[in-house]
Amino acid sequence: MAAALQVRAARAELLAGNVANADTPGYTARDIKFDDALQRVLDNGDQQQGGASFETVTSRENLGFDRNDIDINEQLAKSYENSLSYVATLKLYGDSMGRLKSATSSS
Amino acid sequence: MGLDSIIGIANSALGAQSQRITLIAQNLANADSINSPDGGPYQRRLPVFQPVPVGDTGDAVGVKLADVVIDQTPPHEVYDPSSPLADESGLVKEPSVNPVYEMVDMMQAARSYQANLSVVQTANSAALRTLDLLK
Repeated sequence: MAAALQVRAARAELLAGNVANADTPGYTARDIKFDDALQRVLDNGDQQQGGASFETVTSRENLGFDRNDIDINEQLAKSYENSLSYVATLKLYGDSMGRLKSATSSS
Repeated sequence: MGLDSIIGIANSALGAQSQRITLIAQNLANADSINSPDGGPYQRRLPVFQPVPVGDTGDAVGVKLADVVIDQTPPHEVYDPSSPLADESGLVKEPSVNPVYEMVDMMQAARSYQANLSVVQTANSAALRTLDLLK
């Protein structure tokens, strides 16, 4: 679950970069595939993971006149969705920690 | 990595967008300035944005106002022989600022500003939830 949080946080960073560069000529949206990135973190164990170590997917569709393909609403929606998943994972993580705590305290 | 650099990214965008709005305000204010200090009518200013690395790792991408370019559209010529600035044929050069374009651009800038604000709010609430784990 810690790995999932790591990937969510890295993805949130990329999406924030997309929203920030929605009006930058020549900038194309960046994103990571959650499943692949999660698998990679799990394979690599607890190594230091920055956003750079994830493969970023750059789409090159719908380039407008300024060679920028970012739809700000789409990116915002992705960012909300990502944040929701982050918080959901966090909740599961917190709950499992709580159960572990109560199990160890009652014995 | 993480939520603090998101706030850095969004902050860079908030700065860039407000500089853009400043330029729009300048263009609108000078829509009728026919005699600028460097001679001739006022020329419309346009912002140029550029991605910029944010944070210590540098893989987070913010945005900055890299340059301000001058719109090279030729000025409008209006027939007004009574103006002291009119040339021999009675034409006065007026700025190529179109207030409608500027207003639309301003709305777009405000929209981008709001989008980045909501990114800050999202990151902030996720970070607060993370802190709640310590309870």
